[in-house]
Amino acid sequence: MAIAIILFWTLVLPFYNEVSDLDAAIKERDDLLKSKSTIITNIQGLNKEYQKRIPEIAKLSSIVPSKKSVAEVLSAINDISVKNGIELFNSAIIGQKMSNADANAYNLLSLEMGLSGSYPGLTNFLKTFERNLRLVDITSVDATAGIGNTSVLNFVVKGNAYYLK
Amino acid sequence: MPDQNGLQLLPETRRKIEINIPGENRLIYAGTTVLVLILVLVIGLYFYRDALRTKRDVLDSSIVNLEKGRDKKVEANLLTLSKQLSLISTLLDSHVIWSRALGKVENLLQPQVQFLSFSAAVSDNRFEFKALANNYTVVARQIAAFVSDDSIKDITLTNVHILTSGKLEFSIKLDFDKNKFLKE
Repeated sequence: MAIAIILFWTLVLPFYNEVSDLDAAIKERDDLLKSKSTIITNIQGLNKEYQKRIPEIAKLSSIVPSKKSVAEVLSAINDISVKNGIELFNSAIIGQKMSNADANAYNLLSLEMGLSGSYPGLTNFLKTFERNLRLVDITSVDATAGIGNTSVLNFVVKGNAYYLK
Repeated sequence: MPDQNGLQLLPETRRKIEINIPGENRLIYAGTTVLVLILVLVIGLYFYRDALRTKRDVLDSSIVNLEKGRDKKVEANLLTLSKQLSLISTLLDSHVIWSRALGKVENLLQPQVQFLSFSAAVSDNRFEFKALANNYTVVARQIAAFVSDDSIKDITLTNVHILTSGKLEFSIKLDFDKNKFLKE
């Protein structure tokens, strides 16, 4: 009987404890494997949809791109001003990284454009900007009549474009 | 043993007396049974533990294989798209349309008023302008026109004076309701 008790303490209990630990570890790994498998299956499903809709997604990505894309913005400003018959005489495009503490999931790209042209030219310029695929919010517009020729206005248009953090 | 008066008290040969008491070996049997059971249990647990270890290792390797099979680029693309989708609706809701606001000001403008300059900003919801008018009546009508529009919350006549040409130069500051002035 004494031998049985000694064997119980020295062999059965350690084995039992190890088996219990292994059971818990297996359950944990099993759950992890199941959740990971589900996630990966979902990702694969989403990726199939993503591949089917690449053209739409590319357009969507242009609204708020993941990068600053300063060159594209400058090119768009120039195109819009030329199309609307106004002269772009200066511009500044400055990226502003928002802190991670900020709740917004985007960084700002501040735009400042110095332009000259007619009033209809300005309104058309603004309309085109408002319809631009890359989202730009005009924050301020300042206009003054040109010296001597009041039909030519000088404008300073400021705005913000956005890109992902 | 000598024979005493023909009475023999002790047997001449000794016989082993065996007395069986019921249950005398019970403890031994019970101990042996428990010992055997414990040994069986130990062996059972040993094999069960090995089986569990194998199962754990298989699960570990499955998890590692699953990790290896992940396409990080695809995940990054999907994550970016998710961020963009959630952002776009928020940004479109707050998107301002200045061309509409300028159109509104144009519609409210009196024919005899000529703009010299204007300055507008979303940050403080203001639209300021400097203009020329023929007389005070025109300026008053202009103010009344702005008052009639519900997107304009407040009007301040910051300056008005007569020029040598006889015309009036005046400055007005409009405080507008962003949602009505820049969105509707």
